[in-house]
Amino acid sequence: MRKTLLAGALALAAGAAFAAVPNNTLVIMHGSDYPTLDPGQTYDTGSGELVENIYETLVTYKGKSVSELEGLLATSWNVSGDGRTYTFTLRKGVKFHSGNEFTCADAEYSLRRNLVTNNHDSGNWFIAESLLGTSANAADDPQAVTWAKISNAVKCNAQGQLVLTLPARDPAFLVKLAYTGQAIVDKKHAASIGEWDGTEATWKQWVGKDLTDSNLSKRPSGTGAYMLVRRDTATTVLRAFDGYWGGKPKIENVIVQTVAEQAARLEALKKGDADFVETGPRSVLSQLQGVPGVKIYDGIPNNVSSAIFMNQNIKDPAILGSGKLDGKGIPANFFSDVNVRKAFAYSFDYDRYIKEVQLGKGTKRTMLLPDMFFGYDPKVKTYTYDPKQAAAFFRKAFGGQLWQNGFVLRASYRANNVASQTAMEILKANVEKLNPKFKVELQAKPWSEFLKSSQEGKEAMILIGWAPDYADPDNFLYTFYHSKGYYNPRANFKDALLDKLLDQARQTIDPAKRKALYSQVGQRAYEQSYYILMPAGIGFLAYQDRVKGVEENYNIMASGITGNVWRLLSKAGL
Amino acid sequence: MTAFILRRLMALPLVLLALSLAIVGLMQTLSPAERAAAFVTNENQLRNLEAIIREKGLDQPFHVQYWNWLREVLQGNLGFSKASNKPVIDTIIERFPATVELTLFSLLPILGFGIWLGTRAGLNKDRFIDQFTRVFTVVTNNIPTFVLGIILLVIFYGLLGVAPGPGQLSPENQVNLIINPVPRVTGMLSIDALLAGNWPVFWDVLHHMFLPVITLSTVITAGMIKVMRSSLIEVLSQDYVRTARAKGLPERTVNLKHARRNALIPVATIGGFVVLGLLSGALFTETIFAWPGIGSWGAETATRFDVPGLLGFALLSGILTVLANLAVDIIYALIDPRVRFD
Amino acid sequence: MSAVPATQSAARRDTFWNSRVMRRFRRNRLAVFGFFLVCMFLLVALFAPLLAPPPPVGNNCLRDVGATTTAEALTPTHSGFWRLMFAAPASCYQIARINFTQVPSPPLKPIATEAGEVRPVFGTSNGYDVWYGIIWGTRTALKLAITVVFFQLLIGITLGAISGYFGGWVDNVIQRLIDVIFAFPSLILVIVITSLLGKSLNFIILAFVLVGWAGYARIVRGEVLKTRSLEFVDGARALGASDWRIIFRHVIPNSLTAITVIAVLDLGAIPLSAAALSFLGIGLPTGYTDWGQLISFARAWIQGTAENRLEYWYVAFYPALTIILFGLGWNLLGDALRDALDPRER
Repeated sequence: MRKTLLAGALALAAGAAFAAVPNNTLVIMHGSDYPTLDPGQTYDTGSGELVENIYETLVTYKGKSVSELEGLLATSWNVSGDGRTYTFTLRKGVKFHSGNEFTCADAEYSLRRNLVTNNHDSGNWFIAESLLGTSANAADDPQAVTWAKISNAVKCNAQGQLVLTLPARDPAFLVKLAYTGQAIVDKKHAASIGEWDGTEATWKQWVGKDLTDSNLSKRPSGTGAYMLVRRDTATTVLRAFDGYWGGKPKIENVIVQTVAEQAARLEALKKGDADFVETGPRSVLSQLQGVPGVKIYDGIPNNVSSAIFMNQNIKDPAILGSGKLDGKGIPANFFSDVNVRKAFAYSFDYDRYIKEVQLGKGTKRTMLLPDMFFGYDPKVKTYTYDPKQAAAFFRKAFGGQLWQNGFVLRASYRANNVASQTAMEILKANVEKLNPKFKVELQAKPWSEFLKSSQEGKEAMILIGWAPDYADPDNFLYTFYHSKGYYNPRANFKDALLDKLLDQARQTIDPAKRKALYSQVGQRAYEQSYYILMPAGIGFLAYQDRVKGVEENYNIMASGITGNVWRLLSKAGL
Repeated sequence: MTAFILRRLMALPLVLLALSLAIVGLMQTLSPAERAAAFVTNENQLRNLEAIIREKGLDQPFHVQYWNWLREVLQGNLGFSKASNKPVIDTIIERFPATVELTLFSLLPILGFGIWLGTRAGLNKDRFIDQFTRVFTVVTNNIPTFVLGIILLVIFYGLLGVAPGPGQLSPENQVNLIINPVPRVTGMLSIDALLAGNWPVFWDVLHHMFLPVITLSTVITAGMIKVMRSSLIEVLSQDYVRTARAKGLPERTVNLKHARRNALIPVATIGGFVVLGLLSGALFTETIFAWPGIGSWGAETATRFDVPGLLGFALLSGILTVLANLAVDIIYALIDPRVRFD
Repeated sequence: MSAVPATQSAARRDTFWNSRVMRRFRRNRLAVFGFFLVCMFLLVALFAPLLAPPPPVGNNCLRDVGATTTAEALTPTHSGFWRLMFAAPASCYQIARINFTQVPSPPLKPIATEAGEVRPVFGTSNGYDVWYGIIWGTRTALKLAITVVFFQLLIGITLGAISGYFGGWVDNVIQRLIDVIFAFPSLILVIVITSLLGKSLNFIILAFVLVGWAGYARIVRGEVLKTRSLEFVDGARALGASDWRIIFRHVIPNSLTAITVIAVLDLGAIPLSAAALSFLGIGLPTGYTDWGQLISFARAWIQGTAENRLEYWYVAFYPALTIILFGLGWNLLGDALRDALDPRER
């Protein structure tokens, strides 16, 4: 009996040949599960990848561009002279997966729903900032967020056009609407399955609501080219939507799987069991290069800006050590001396980081803004690794006291983040080489603690990045440099000139003038050396070469690993 | 006997209560912000940490937090797991059958191969097969599950191509499932496919189970072989076996009828160990092979700092262990007439 | 009796060597192999600074023992040498970093560094010197195992003895506590505790101790109950021996056999569990000299390149072999001890 059992098992293992992915099917493997299918809650790339294929926004990025927009559910729009009123003409003949016709009421409902719920984990804060003048929801700020304000900001006119009215003009507004989270949901369907009914009578019950596991997330109905078939524990299956307004897409089925182990995902890609996988860092390329059937699309621009922060007012005595310039610690205002900041900026070995960590595929940036974004100025000066300059600035700092007495700096990095740990280790080694009295101690901190303590201004030095919510320089430069920017509590400086320039840029519609203002921001930031700018690693995508149409329209603002909406893809043999 | 079972079952809530107190207590060593971070998935979201703390009452004193937690649990609400993006209770209902499935199939090699090799070794003490078994068990016993899993994946899937990749189904059967849906009855895909008469899916799931089952069962099989061997050796030295032999009964009858049956009694006692081993092994096996059970979820709750999920996972493993031990006691009593319940 | 004549002690040694237990132990070739492995690991741990000397760049070990060159630190006349041997500073337990490249470099392949060319014996993984990690990791593993088992024994024996000897409500409370601990797979409990407390050697030790003492306590308690019912205890008590004296003189020695075997097996098992924690990413901090960490680095490199599927074999091979041999050594030793001490096996 046992022998037959064993034989049976072996036969099983050696069984039929394993056919690769069928031609009409696309298989994508993620490293971790995605939270939600509700656009109102979507604020991560994993969910975004599915949501942007099930749902559609009013406008979207055109081709590979991150600055040009084109209509999706809106066919055209015009902006009033004062820049505060946007009128969208909507596409006709569009159907939701449920069979309902898409009308202005759906668009109105979707945007109002986002303003009403505006959950803290969602990406609705920035649309609220434009439409209501505050990033808060009605629970956080009952005065600023009222039903009257919400319903006036978003409404349909008699011609069935969507009219959005802003409290102040905002050059980034349109691009914010391209964000997947602002996709249009099916009002009738949503109300029928127990979501908000869209009326004033019930809106208060939905304020701040966490929509991650909402009914709409379980049973989505969008206008997108793919509709949900089923979502199991680790597998989501989608199928082409027959009634799609743009014509039925070429690929019939899409399977999105969660496979946590990187080795397993890479094997699946090599074997052809997956068309796209989340690969991991660039170093894995050595395992994928030359594998038959796997194509590598290299040179994808990086849309994240990372920097080493130098906190000018460190609020944790434990980090300061002695709290004095006596060689046993640092004063709280250690980084408020521009010489110290410049010395550190000259101490980082940018080229070594590019060579060893980014394997030669990285570029130095001049500003904390992705280089393909509007407003980026390549002519702004940058720092290079220069121990002589570094030593010279360290000698100048604090009237020479620093060089004489030395210091102990406690810097932190995010635990398990190899890239940022490595960057810190390079900086540490170079600084310690300059003077035996200089000591840098590195601490690994769990993500949560790391973010919290830095938000409270308690970390002296950290490395952190910012990924775009929408493709506008304001999303980056205000965040890093304005004294009211989101990252300011981590760096604690107030530069009146930068504040002025950034506020001005927010109100400037003329692109040329706006661009000039951002160049000035970059120049000032270089002179003051507020951050150490990390080189940006160049991205890559490894995929099955049977998939066609990947590179032509690859857009870095797309949420998913494919860099495309799936309807643009096809497969050899189709 | 009923009284005995009831008494043991009554201890269960006490055990769970003590554990939950300990875990909620341990959580108090963290700042509210760190606990709040469990609810956050990306850096941009952290702008609202304070609001999350208020919303979830994470800044309340210990007894209030514990009471809140307990009240929710008593209403069947174990909280929301960020690792699975679902309520903990839904996650368990959805994922548990897959783990049971993997575990049941793992019992085949553990019981089949384990008892077989243990018997062979015990009957041929100090001969080649016994020496081989000793080396075999001591080696397999010492390969960490996670190392074994990855090595198997690379050799049999990557290098030789005889085993399928991660997950439960290959893409063509995922598509097959769209056309011929398999209704969820037991939640175990292989059994459900069988019930629905969907043979391709059934065979595909079995294929996909091959490597995970080996990974999960190897360490435990080694333990089973050891116990079976030593138990058999002991039984063989007993008087009644010698008597049977002296009576001139054929060696085979003596071995199978008298010795092995009695040798199996102590084997039943390691049933608890088997369940424990399978449960901890599932953490690694399911992670490596993308098996959608509670093990891969449990591992993720730990790494993603998903406190409600972690708590739910720990409570579930507690219940399972207590029940397994209870079952072992009962089986033991049924097969060994010397045990009485008092 | 203070000065034992040399001949007598030699004779005693001789009797010990030829005792039934030792004879049985020596006859078991696997046991001897296990014993050899364990001794080897102990020696490696002791002489770690000589086998993998602190490098001039890569960590701050040299700086922290007050030496400027590796040769200086290895001179017995220098105070740094003795610190390395017996009280190495924390920075020595950081794996030496040869460069910052993630892609592994094969064994003995020369790598140019600021301090000249180096040839890492086992290659590099994530830029870390694997040889250094394995050698100093032996210290970490043994330190972890020995500390954990020591505290487990201390707590287990104490509570077990108290529980068995005094009975009543004390016994009841301790037994219920043990029930709770036994109601969970210990690895899962350790995972819960360490993921809540955070990454540090001390927390990992704490978690293992909290979870592991209960087994010892059960054994000691059972032994106490057995011993208490024996006549000589009554006799001893009648002669005026105190409770504690009885526990120490009679109860504990009697339970030592069972405890020793489990303790030896635990010494091998604990570093394996710790490695499992590292695999899940909740073990020791990155860069710490810890075998589990090296295995975890290797996860991304188990596959080779398109031309050579075994290109990066060394990344997983050496750490895995080390872990397996370590577990094997203690396991063989534990098994052999059990066999040797078990009166039933002949």
